[in-house]
Amino acid sequence: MGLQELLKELHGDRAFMENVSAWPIQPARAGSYVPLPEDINPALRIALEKRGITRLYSHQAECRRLVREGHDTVVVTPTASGKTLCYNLPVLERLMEEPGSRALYLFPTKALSQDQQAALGQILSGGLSIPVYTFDGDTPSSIRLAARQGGRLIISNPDMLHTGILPNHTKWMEFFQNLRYLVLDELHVYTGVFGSSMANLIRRLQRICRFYGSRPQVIAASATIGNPAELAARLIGRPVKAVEGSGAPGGEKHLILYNPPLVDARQGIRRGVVLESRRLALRLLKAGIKTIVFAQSRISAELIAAYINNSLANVYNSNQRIRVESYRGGYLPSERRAVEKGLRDGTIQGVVSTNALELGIDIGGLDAAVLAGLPSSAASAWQRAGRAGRSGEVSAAFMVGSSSPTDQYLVKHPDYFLGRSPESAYINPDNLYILADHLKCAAFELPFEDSEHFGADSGEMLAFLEEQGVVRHTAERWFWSDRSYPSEGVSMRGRSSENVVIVDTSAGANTVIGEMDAHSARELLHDEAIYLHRGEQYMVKRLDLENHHAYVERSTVNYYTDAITKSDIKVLTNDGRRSIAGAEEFLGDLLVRSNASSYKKIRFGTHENVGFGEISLPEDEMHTRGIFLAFARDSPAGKAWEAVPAAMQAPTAARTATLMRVSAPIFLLSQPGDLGIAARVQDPHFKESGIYIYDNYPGGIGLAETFSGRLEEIIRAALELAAGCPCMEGCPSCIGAMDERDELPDNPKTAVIEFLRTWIE
Amino acid sequence: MSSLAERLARLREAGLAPPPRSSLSPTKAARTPPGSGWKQHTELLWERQLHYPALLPETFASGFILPPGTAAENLLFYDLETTGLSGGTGNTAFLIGLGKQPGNTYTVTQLFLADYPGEPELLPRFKALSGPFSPHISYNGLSFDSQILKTRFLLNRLPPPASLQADLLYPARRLWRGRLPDCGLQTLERKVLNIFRPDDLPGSEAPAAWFEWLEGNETRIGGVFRHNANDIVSLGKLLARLEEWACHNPLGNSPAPSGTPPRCRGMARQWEQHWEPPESERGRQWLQAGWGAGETDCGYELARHHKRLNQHEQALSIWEAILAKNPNEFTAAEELAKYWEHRRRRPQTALAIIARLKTDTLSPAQNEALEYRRLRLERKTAVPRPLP
Repeated sequence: MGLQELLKELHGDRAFMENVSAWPIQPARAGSYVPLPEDINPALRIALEKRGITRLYSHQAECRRLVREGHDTVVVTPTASGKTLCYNLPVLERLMEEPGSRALYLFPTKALSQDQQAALGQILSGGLSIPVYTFDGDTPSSIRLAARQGGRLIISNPDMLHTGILPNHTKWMEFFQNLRYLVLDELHVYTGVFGSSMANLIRRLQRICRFYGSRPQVIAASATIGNPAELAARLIGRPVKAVEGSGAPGGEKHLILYNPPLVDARQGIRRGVVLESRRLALRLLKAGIKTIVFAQSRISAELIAAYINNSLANVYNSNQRIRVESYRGGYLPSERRAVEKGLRDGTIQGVVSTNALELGIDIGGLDAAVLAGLPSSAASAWQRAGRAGRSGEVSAAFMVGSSSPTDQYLVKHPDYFLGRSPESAYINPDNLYILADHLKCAAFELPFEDSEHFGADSGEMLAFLEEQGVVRHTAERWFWSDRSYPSEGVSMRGRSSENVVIVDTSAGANTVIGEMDAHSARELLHDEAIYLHRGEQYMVKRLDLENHHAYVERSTVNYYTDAITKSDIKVLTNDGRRSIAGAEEFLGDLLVRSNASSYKKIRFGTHENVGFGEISLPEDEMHTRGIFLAFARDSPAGKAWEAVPAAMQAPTAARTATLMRVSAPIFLLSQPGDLGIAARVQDPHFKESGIYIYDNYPGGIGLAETFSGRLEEIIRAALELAAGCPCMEGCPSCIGAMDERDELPDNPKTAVIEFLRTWIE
Repeated sequence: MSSLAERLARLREAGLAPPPRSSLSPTKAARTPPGSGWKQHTELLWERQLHYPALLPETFASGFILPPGTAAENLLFYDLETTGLSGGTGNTAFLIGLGKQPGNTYTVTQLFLADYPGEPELLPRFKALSGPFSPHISYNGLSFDSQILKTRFLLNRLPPPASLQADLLYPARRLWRGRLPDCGLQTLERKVLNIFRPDDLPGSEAPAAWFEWLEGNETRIGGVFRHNANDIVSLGKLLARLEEWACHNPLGNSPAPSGTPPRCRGMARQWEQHWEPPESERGRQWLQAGWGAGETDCGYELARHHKRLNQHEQALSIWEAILAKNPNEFTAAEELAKYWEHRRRRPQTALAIIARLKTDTLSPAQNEALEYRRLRLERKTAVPRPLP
């Protein structure tokens, strides 16, 4: 059975269609082609023709034109639309025209570098001799020298540029003197902390290039996001031209938004996403349709693959000749390569993957994609869905929603994937902490001139570093004056290194069972907390924040714990006030002190409070950027607020905050934990009620500011989430579950809906 | 967004940023570095010369480390003190010590950078002083000092010096690894040269001492000067001591040079560095001396020489002696087995030799090789089956 027939069958299947919340179809699109340009280098033309490339998609030609005119350019294209040729073509052309010139390709991960080297190798095997080297942590030292001296095209990653190449730039003198192009692929990955660090890394690269007299032009490629040109411009500090609209052909595309049936309507519980996805995938595979399943975690990838294979297991027909593999981070490179190859040559019919296969690794064409749980961004949803669809043929993506609020919103909003602009990426290159870290690395690389700019006002920052004793100002220059190698102490990817490792010490063992960020660990892994992990119950014996370890032991108590955290927000600066979406917004620097001081013991099942305990952890203190959204008198929000009965004000504000936290990732390329949100009834600083929204990262990463730009959409989404949920008084899929202990006089869900509706309408 | 300075000030109020350093008083006035003999070369570059009695022979005749007949007056010894201990462009050399022996004194010239901006004068001065000499002798200079200098020249847009490097770390390791706790210059000084520095400042404190000097605190910088000068002297003495060992015949009656003697195998190896086979006579002497003193590694090497020269009987006696001393020596047993199997065609004897080895003390790879050999030998020695 082909996909077309199966789709017809599904359309007629009432049991299936009851769960389909939307089924939009994108019609087939003809490709828009232009012939290979007349002025293309003849040797390159021959090499391309050998690879079967005799014409270009319109966007490839447009990108080439802009690059050759000297513009910094970003290409925005869906998966499988000839993205790499967009930059490979102009770069290779230039490298052939100017025999000394060099290019640097940066990919966010090592696996992608290897893929790219293979792709370039194929074009170059057509008789072109341009030495290409991958230079990363795995490069043997015997090859490093050759790469530095002879590499015309170097493929690397930000971490290697940061700790290996820039601090030793004199070894790369010839390379930097002749650096003509900087290629940044997967640009949309550089958001938040990683993006803010990346912007500073590029400042450092540009500074070294200035020293050697070069000015590399930038070519970037991004998945579909809301603001690609803006993101690129902020990352490289220069205006960027965008090429949008792909000229690649596309087959008919079915987008099937599937919401698993409700099991318990009152509590809003739906059938599990893992089992539903398995059922769908099996139906596809048995119909002979090549399928990829995207799981949300490594564990669920393994689970789904195992379930599928168990269901297929049959020695008499060799599993119906269907082979399904799992693919995730943590596999050996050779294992990954084997799966990729199997997918390309058709010996593997199905694969269950984490986001590891989302980025541009070549696995050939598949017919259907099943997304087990919606990814945290539309960009990523499209990348996953785009894995299905061979040129010109019909393809389908099944998006299976989980009961998380974000999924519940998205599964009912097909236009989010089809029409409206997806999320904005945000960065804050001038985050004080990130800037200071990279300024140290930059000073190590080259002394700073007094007149020199690094982002904004580097003079003040350097004076600050001099106070710390790591630079010295003399003769109008700032010299690195510390014995350390600063980039070793600076991570490009933010706080991942600070995660607390959870160690199971039951029965004298020492097994690592997971990790958690230090911030959440204070609430969930304090001494004597009950920690639930994959259905097992553990008690925390000791939380060692200094060494990032939590020691736990199996336990069988009949209660769980709930930490009581108090956060105290102090406003350090007030940079301005403006009216926005019917409320008043204040922007500024905040000092957030949070303290988990005690915890409740709550009995399973009955939710009775059976005791208290003390938590003795030092206060967590963070300086960050944020906004206070005031329900100011006479504003629409203020009027709506005054209509809320006094006894319901605190629960309403708290639930509004919850809704904002879960809606934000729909419009911003972020995770729910990236934002801190705290409701205040009669805030002592502003003397008004409202909500604090701040970046949950020291110094701020630009998220709260971007949040306020999309506030109105976020409030509308929050309202729709609450109003569209079938539960009675709140559930984990909307405003959070009702807590019997609160003893509220009214239904909080009605109160929140009423408040938001009055505010926004 | 408010200005960075204001934001930093507020961070400080909130206790989130470190307080300003109190001792921040860059002294602009030219200060004479502590110690005698310093002359100001340019504003931020100081230079001095220290004189010592000659410590090198006039020529290095042996060819042990340097080409035979190298004259002492052509040599340059050098050592850097730097602001960091690893590589990278942020590591600056603030003190360069150079040692020479132009006649009957050994002179140490020190170039001291009083502050960063003097570097463009420091580097050409080093080049002028060192350029006519070759090779440049150092301890670990191949991978550290010469690389730092190259980086400094490039950063200042100056052509880096192209000098021939002779790094004494490598021969020192060859000779004394295993005999000394480590092969650092300080250890060699104490154990090989019998020099003890009573008030030495550890080299790892040099960066801190210079940063203190920049801030007007001179207490430790004098120690760095002494340390560096001592290193340059020790370098010269080490080369001289190496030459003494080169000239020593271990089989003769002349007294050995003082200090911890080198490994005989290491001496032989160092001699082989510059000799084509047949093996150097000097190397052979050391191997014989070592074997005479019961050093198994010398015995094996000597046997290897004999084997290559078709002196099988001599090789045989060495392997037998090794095996007699340690009945479980795999290599000796293996060599003997090869000899009896292939050269004398007596697989029975070979089998008897390897049968005595205790397999539980051997490595998996050795056991595998052994098993393979045993099977083959058993095949060869099998009694032909009687005819029915």
